[in-house]
Amino acid sequence: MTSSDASIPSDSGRWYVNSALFQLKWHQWEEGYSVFHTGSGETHTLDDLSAQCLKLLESSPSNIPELSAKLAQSLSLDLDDDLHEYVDKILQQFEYLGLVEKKRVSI
Amino acid sequence: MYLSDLSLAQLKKELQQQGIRLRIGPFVVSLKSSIASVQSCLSLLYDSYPLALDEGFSDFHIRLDTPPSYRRFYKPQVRFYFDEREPFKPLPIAHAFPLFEWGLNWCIAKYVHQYLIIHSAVLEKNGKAIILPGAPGAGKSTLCAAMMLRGWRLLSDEMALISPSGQRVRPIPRPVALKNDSIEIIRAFDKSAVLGPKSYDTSKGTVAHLRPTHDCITRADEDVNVRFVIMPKYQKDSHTKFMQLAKPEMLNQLIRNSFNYNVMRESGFDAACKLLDQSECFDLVYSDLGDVIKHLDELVMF
Repeated sequence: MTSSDASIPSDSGRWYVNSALFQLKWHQWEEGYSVFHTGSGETHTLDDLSAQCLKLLESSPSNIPELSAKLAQSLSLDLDDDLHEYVDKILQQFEYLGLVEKKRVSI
Repeated sequence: MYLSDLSLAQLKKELQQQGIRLRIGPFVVSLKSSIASVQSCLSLLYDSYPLALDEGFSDFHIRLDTPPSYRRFYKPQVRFYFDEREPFKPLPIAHAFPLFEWGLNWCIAKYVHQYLIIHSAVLEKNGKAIILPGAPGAGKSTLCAAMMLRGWRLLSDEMALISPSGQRVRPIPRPVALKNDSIEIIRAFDKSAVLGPKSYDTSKGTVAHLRPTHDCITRADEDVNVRFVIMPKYQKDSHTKFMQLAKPEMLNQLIRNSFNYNVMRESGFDAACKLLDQSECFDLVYSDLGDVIKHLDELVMF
């Protein structure tokens, strides 16, 4: 990926679950997932798609294009701008909730 | 030995001197009080409760007394002591018995963390427990009182003690706290209901306590499987209506209504999830006590 590719968001940092600081404890329901954040003590409700995003980040750090591609592959979705936009938004929400952090790109 | 084995005179004497040790569910409560209304309400509402006679461990040491100041001659107050410390401001003496009940709730909610504690009523029939969490004013205690008076076993009107495995609930039957209109509703619902005196102008309005049935107390050691978690809501003139509630949403409701989820953390999450795995979850709207109990009876029939 290069920054000259206009279809890719400019953000090239990788998002990750900081498992050195906290764990995520999952429970699956018929209607989605609940996840307990051992760091904050908060419990969050996630639908199947957002849960898959978080699980993918839990297994390996990704930037938005990478995560979108993994998500598209694992759930048989079209890898298009709509998906990039969704991933961008959900990552912002995850960050707000303290579920993910962004690795800064070292120069 | 049971509290009813003591005459009122003996009970008063013991409460004023060495105190009594009441077995309330899994707890032993050591209680002292020189206040007449506390003594008479205990005699009326706790008469079926067993007394712990040995010198063993007491979970809570509670004392309710009037401070020995001149104030007692013009506006007497009651003070609640827990381990001889005062966690609350004094209240008017007329609120002494409700203060015992509220204070004991506080003690359990603050110090008991071997269970996940949910603010809810719990009742059982045919070996199946229903947990009824609900915000104050939702009609939880009224429904709970009516169910008990129609043969359901009361495990608690105030808190569900959920085992860490999430599969069992431990009884802690106590007098049911009825508020405002509920008092006369329950009196009219069942003429045999035994209620303590009304306490007026408390922080919750007018309060009176309903005596638990004998069966609830004698079976206080029998824990039970939870099969239903139902959020009741009284709605005037409504028909009884059960609506399936998604489990993630019910988990959020349980967390919101828990006294110690923030202390239990992961083990609380595990217990609550396991509880819901084995339970059906509903929102319930009702107005007619007889009708809603008929539906609840059908729910636990098979």
